[in-house]
Amino acid sequence: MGLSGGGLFGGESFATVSAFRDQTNVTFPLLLRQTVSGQYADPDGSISPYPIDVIIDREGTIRYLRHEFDAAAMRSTIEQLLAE
Amino acid sequence: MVHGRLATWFGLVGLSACGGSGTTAAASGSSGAGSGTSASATDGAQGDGATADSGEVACPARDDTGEPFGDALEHLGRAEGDSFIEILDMVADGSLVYSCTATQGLTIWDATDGAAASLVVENVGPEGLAHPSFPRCQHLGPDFGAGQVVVTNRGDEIQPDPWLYLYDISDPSAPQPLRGLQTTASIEGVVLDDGRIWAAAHKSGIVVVDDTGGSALVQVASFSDEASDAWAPFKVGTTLFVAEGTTGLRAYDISGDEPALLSTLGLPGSSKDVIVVDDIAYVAASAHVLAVDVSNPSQMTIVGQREVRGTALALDMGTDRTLLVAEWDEIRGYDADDPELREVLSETVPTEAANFTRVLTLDAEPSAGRVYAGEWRGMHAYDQHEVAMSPEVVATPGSLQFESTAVGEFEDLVLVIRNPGTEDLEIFGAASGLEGVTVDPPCVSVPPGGAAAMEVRFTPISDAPQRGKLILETNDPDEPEFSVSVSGNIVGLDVGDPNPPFELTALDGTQWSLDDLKGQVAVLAYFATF
Repeated sequence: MGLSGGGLFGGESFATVSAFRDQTNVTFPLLLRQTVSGQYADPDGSISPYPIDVIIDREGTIRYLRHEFDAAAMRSTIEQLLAE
Repeated sequence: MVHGRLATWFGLVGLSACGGSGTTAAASGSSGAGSGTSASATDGAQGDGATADSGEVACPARDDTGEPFGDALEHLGRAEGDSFIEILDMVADGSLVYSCTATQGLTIWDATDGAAASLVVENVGPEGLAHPSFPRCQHLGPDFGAGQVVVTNRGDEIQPDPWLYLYDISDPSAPQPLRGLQTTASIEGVVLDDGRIWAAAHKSGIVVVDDTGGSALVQVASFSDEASDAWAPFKVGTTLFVAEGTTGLRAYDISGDEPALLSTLGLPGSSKDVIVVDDIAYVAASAHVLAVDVSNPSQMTIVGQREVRGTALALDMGTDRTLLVAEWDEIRGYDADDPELREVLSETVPTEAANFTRVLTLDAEPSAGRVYAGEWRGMHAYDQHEVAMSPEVVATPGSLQFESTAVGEFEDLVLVIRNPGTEDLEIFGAASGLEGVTVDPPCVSVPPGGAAAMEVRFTPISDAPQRGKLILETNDPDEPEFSVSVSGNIVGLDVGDPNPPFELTALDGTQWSLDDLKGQVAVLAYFATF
């Protein structure tokens, strides 16, 4: 498929995120970082830093960025990029 | 799936415009310099905030003299608390609506007047268990006959230890704490019936808890196996049906203390909610909703299935056998008796925030013809009417994000308007207060099942960030003013920029870097446990 994915948590502890993984049975990689704020543009003017969904193409360019979960738009973008 | 790739949008049937300069969908995502290729660029550059492409187009005015289309879900009003964040679950009882919220705990609304619902009580959370400033509950399970409700906490960064707690709600204005139970299992959905609680506990399966009247609730039994992924239970007599994530739908015999697994039915997607009506279980399973014959719980069978346009999170049965589903972006309704679960209504939940709405939960009160929906900031009340013939407006993408564009240059994006309704859809015009945004054509007519494209051009007159709404005036009775988020020249990394390098550690110790992902399409989903 050529598709990778990961969930990134900003500022949360290893123990908390581990518990979350165990609770929810998610199978994709869960990654830890210090913060998620301030790096990406916020075209929606969101009142929360979460969620941020970023899709990058095979060259590392951002091709999708939303602060609001939009499953259909994400599916569409992934299909388009996999076909490129 | 409704949303097609940009490259295929132009092949949609029924492309039509009401007349005028006719450069519809000539480009998508294109950009250029100078005055652009249509009169709209010049109009927008004047910066008067008017956005309809005047050009040669004469848009028809809205005609309100004919028979109005029916509105299956009539929005009555929206109410919110002082600092409401995220209504996660809700159950109505008459004119009272009980809800669990992310930061205000258990809240109770009086929705007698749907246009002006008011908070009866908020910030209810068990002392010593809930966060003192931001009490939170995930789900609630009422036993209105007994005047009790149990609320749950699944455990996260804010409230690390999972618990469930029982309240006396015989006086809804003053819920009385009774007793609770702190658990190691993460608790999600819950059912309360005659002093017994069945809790869905993710991979810990089903946890059975009794209220014996002592100082604490008492766990009396549990069931789990390797496939357990319990999210939401629904009790019918001595059978418990549970939506179990990627495992699907499971049925348990709960006639004894120990739940006994009767059967497991694998379903597409991730099952997050279930209701049972007349021996049919309806399941919200992310990209699908399903109908399952559960007349024999030991041998459940799929009898209806539909891929949905949003993400199915919660559901309930409204009037006229309309299955109502909270799909994050909208409320949608499906014919519960149709094997294909035909979509019969779609309702954008209006929000005053810039965000698009997060419809996480809903509850129907068919006896009163009412529907309630919970979203990021507020609680909405609707009157449900008979599904009628009407146009339906759907626009993709859901937001238009223009890249950084210099003064004197422009960028075009295509907005595709679809009409999954049953009557001709009319877009009478487009407007917003954003500088330098124009639409060509500004009005379109879309037949049932058809689609049309509108080219939206951003020609900034300054470097200032632009963020707002494009308002389409329509004859859709649900959405006479349909809004699409528009932004341009926003500061920060955006579409088209290279993602900065990163090196991160996964829970299993694996190192991930941008370089490792070269050659692959990658999804980076930033979220939180709370």
